Amino acid sequence: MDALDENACVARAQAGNMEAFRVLVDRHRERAYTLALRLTGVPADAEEVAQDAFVRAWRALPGFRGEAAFGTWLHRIVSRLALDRRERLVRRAQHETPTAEPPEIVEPASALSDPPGGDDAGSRLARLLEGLPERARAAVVLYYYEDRSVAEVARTLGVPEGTVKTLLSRARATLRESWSREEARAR
Amino acid sequence: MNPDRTPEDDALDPSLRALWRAADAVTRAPAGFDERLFVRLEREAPARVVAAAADPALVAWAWPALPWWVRAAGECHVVLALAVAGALVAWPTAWSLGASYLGAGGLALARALDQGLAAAAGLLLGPLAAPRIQLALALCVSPALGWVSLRAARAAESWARRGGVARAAFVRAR
Repeated sequence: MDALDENACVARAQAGNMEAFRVLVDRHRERAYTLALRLTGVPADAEEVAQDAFVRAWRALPGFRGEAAFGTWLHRIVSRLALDRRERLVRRAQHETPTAEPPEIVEPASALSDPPGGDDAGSRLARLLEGLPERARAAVVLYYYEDRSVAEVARTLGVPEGTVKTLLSRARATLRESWSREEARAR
Repeated sequence: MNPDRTPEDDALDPSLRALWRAADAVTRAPAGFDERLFVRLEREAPARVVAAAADPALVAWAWPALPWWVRAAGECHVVLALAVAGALVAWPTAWSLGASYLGAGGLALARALDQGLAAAAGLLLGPLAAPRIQLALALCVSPALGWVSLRAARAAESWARRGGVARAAFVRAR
């Protein structure tokens, strides 16, 4: 589907045509889900985030002005929802009373590794992301995977650009180290 | 790109991106993703489906399908800039007052601009005094009025959806 077709689909979906929206879902499903999975690290959460993002996109479509491509707009919704979800889980865990059972926050990277120590690309990527703190992982995913600029990452994460640069710089150092370990293991 | 990058970072990037592509190639949304999504959509947003069915002509008027000059006219900053320009042309005293803060030079410049504008207005708008020309102008303006009506209709639709009016109407209609 080229940009023209996509614009036509967006226009029809804006007017409420569900079949046109189905075409858009079909086109963007995998990438939206993958982005959600990279950010949340948990397949079940990733599906919920991706679905919520499509539902929000459907609701907000009448106001969509086409200033960015539909995919870019959708990915912004996905990343915002995924980050909000993680923040909510962390906040909830912090505010739980000590007597109560803390909610289980699955370590994102470990949930991605299947099987542990596996050698496929998904497992390798999971192992690389494993060493990164939450915010740094989000910054790396948005910067590398989403090809966002530092300014856009800063806006999405709600932090100053300098913080994003620091996060990326530290993340690169950790990634380089993990990458060297991976390479050594492969040899 | 980030200026804080090192040559090591540049060496790492291609490997990282290749790994990412390879990982993406094997990542698939879970089975039944679409079915679950569309069950939710059909449950949550019936009002939009009904609105579309009632007015298929709306498709042609959807925002991204409109030409850039129509969309530009709908941008808040364009409207604001035109309003400010209009106000400045209509009330030269306002900008003369502003120019007075710049001293005698500013005042002289403001006076010269004012005289230039008055001359240009006389030259450009003089022929428009004829009724036939005024009618032609009114006809030219009518698409803009149509566009304003569309925006108003959209705003009302959005307001109704937010307020649940459309949903309530839909339920009553059934």
